[in-house]
Amino acid sequence: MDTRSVVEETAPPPANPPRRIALRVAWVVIRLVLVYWLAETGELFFYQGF
Amino acid sequence: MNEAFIDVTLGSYWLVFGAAVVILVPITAPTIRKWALAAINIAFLGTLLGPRQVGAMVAAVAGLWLALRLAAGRRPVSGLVAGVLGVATLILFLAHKLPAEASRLGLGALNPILVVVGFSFVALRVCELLRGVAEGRHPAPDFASAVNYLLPFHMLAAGPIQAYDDFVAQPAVPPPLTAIEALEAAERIATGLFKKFVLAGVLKSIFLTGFSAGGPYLLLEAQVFFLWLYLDFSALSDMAVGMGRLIGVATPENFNRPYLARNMVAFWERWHISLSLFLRRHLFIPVQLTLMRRTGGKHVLACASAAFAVSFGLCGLWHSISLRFLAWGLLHAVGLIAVNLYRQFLTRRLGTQGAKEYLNNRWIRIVATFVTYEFVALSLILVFYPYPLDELLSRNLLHGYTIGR
Repeated sequence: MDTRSVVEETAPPPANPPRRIALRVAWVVIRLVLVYWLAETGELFFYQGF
Repeated sequence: MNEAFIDVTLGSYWLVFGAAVVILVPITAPTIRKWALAAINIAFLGTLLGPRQVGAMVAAVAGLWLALRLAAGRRPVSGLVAGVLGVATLILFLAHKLPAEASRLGLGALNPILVVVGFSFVALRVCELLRGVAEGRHPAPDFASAVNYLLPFHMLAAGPIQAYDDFVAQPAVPPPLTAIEALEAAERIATGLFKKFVLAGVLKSIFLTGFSAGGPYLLLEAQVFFLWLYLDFSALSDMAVGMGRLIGVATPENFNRPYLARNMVAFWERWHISLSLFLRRHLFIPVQLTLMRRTGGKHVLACASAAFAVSFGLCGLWHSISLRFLAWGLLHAVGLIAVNLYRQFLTRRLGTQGAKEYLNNRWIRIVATFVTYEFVALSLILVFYPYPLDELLSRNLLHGYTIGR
C-alpha cells in the first residue's frame, strides 16, 4: 500500500509559515513605532544607576 | 562632571549595538572576537564617559586582571589577593551607595563612573570572578575576557548578573543564528522596549504618585507599583537577552512569570533570578553549610532560617544601605522561612501524600498565589513610602477617620 499520500495529508504544517513570520515581523515593527512615538528622551529604567 | 546614564532612547546607544552586531557576527576567530568585543565594551563606555573616566575604568579592570594573573594557581597567595580585591570592591560599593560620605572622604570623583556602570551589579560580578579564580575553579582570565565579563555593555544598565561559570562555559565563537532565531532576538528587544515605554509608561502616568497620594489609595498603588516594577525591570532584562543573542553573548534570563509564584521561595525563583542565584551560591549555601557543620546537622530548619536571614538582610542592604531596605530584606526572609515552616507543619499534620494533595488543590493554589502577590506588593511600601513610616496610619490607612474625640 502506498502510504505517501496519507503521510503528506497528515504531516503537520511547517512551524513558521511565511505568513506567520510576516505577522511577527509586523508586530515587532508596530511595537517599535509605538515606542518611538511614546518614549521620552532621557527616560531611565528604575534600576539604572543602581 | 555631570552624571551620565545609559540612555536607550538615544541613537548612539543603538548605533553601538548595531556596530557590535555588524562587527562581531562575521568574526569566526575566537581571539579576534574576544578583543573586538572588549573594544566595543570600552568604546560604549567612551560614549558616556570622558577619556579620563574610561581610562580610570580600564585601569581598574587591568589592575584586577594583573593581580589575579600574578596570584592565580598559588593557593595561599591567590586567596589573599582575592581578599584584598574583595575589600577594594566593597569600598567602591560603599562609595557608590553612600555618595555623600564618599565625597567627604575625597572619593566623590568616583561616583559618576560608578553610577554609569551600575556598580552594584559590577561588584557582584567581581565577587563571582574573584571566588571562581581564588578557589581554583577557573584560571585567571586574560584582559579582554576580564573586560567582557565585568563590563558587558548590554548588561551594564541593570544586569542580569551573569555567573562566572556560565561566562566561562559559553562557546568562544557562538554558532551562527538562523533567521528565525534572529527574529526571536529582535522580538525580545521589541518586547522589552514595548513593556518599558508603552505599558509601564501608561501605568505610571495613570496610577503612580510615588506613594504620595493620601488615603487608602496607597493600597491600590502598591498593587500597580508592583506590576509597573515588573514591566520596567523585566523590560531591561528582555532587551539584554535579545541583544545578547544577536551579538552572541550568553545572557541569563532574569524573570519567569513571577506573578504565578505561590509562595516566597517560588517567587525568588522567578523574580530577579540572577540575583537570587547569586545569593544562593555565595551566601545562602555557604552560611547554611557552615551552620550545619557547627551544629552537627541537627537543626536543619534553624540553619536554613538563619541562612535566609543573612542572605536577604544583605540583599536588602545591596539594594540600598538603609534601615528600611534592611527591614524589607528581613521581611522577605521571614516570608521564605514561613514557607519552610508551613511545609513542615503540613507534612507533619497531613503526611507527605496528604500535604502534596493539599498543595495541589486548585483553590489553595489560587489563594497562595494571591497572598504571595500581596506580600511582595505591600512590602514595597516599606521601602518606597516617601514619608516617615509612622505616618502610614494617619496619612493613609485611617485617613478620614477620627481616633478618639
